[in-house]
Amino acid sequence: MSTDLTPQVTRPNRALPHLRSELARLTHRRLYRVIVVLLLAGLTLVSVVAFATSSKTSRIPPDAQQQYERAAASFDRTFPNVVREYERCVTQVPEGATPDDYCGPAPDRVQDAPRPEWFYPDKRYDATKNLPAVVIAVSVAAALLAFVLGASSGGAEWSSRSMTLQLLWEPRRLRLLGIKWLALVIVTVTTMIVTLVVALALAWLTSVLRGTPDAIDGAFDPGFFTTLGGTAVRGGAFAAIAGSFGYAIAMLVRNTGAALGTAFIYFAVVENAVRVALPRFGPEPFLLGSNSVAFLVPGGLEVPGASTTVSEPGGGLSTSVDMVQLTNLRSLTTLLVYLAVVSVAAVWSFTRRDVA
Amino acid sequence: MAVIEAQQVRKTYRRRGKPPKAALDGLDLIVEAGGVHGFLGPNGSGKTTTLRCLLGLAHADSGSLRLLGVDAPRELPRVIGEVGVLLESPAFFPPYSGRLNLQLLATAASLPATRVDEVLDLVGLRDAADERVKGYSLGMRQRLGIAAALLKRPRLLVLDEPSNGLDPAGMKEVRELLRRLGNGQVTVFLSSHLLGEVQQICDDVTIVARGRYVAGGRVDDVLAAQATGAVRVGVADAARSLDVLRAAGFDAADDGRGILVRNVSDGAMVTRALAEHGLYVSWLMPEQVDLEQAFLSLTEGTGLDQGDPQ
Repeated sequence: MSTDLTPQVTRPNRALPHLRSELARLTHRRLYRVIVVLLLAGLTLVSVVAFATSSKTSRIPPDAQQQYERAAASFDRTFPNVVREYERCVTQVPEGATPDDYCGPAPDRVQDAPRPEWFYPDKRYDATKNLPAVVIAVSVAAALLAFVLGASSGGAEWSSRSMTLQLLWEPRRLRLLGIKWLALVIVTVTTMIVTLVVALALAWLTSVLRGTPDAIDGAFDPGFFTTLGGTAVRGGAFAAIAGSFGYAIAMLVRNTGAALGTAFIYFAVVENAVRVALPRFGPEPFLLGSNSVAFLVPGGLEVPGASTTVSEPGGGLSTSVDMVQLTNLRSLTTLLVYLAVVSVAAVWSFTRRDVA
Repeated sequence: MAVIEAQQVRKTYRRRGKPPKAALDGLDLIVEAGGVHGFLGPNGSGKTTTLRCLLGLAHADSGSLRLLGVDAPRELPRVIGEVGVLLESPAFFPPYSGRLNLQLLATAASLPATRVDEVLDLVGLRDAADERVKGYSLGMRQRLGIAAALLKRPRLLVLDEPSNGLDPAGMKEVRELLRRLGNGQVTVFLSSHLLGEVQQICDDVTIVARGRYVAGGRVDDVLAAQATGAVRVGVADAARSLDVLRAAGFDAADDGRGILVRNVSDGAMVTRALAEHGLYVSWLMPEQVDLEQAFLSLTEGTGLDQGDPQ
């Protein structure tokens, strides 16, 4: 009881110490630690499987080699006949049709020739195929877990009523929300980067020990690392967006379960209902699901847009669907618009509603 | 200087499917700096709503609120560093330890880490500081809440039912602490339903009912205002004395603890009336009014059983 009880002016919370406190609050959460362990365990498991199913050697066993040579000889024998048959077919193409439509693609001695891997798949771990897949897989996993973390950390503030306590230390609600959101983004992106580095290191190690770090067929494509880096950056952004969605929904509904349920209902029910109910209007380019995929995949995604039904001159109806290219930028814009709408609603609700 | 001022504050809770409920109906309140100020009222009288409006957790529909001389909640950020609050049951993050919960608050406010240990010591929680809050008893949570309220070294300490869940020894410690704070430079604003506690440690009191100010001032003054002017008399022949007093026009009754005579302006009138009939008083005591009686008398018919709106 000898503590000094003399009043002393405590300054209102400053941004940086407050941010440090929020970062500690998030990273001390058991869920966050479980997420980190899950991510690392998942990566280790995938690496072990890749390691076990890959092989350093590219030598073809003798029986497979014989089968390949027999097939190659047969191809060489029959190829001139295939060419002749194609040339005959081309002369008979009906008016209005193309040779490709009527006869199929032109024969190509290099492209069509049998390959050794058809008879004995090359089991070497191929970095060119696996690294982009690793980045996308980590991004998807990180985004899902970021959503859960965002929803849970937002919901827990309300269920434990610790939000009330924090407002008694920082009554500027917008500022409090902003700092909490910033802390979530920092934690999400940092975790994503660390996970990605570990994932790429494991994939690289597997390539060195059980395959080749270079492409099997030669050197990496010139843009390989640019594309890989771009995918990684988009993956980090996607995880941050997913975490922000989770947090914003939880702040709106003030409950973790309700936030997770809202997301489940949206993806399982609402999106599918819209696809079924409004196929003519081509809702796909505007849905969160397709835009999420389009944002992650290098180059974006082509999705069906609006469809038009026209009467044929000879009777009957034909339907044509306009395909829409969702570029990475376009899908990012769509995701951000959705996020802005949910965030504005969350901010409005948080600043206007009473806190119990 | 007033540390808390409320003028004509109104607040109605509107909930879907339920009729609106007026929690504050033109409440007026003034708390001067220094000492311990009690805030009394039956359940549903608007005590907690008043605190929530003052601290920016709820929005008042109309009226004006000032805290430490600034408009609340608009200018609350200017003074929040000087206000320590324990509002209802303390709201900590259950999976974290008591120490971590306090450390997070201290870090955000740039307070030194040593301050956390100081307040943990002060409330007797140092030994349990590293245990998770979800394993704490209600009393331990309450102590942690008081520790959090004191973390900032506040000039104004707002406490809502601080004795909730505390054992008798804990209640005594907290009361002594509040008294110590009130004797120093801290103003303690204590909302409590424990009338004995308020009477014991408060210098001033404000009584509210149905969201309105009912009475207020120095505790002694409030009690004096409610004094009934009754005296209790001890005589050998109680039955005859009762007859004599009634015949003389006194409102008298025998409740087994002596004869209670109400509305007596001067005790000598009672002794004289009895002595004229050969009855001599062995003792005479003015009837004391305690805060409970004053409170019940002031808040009579204000719906004690109504649930607190928040």
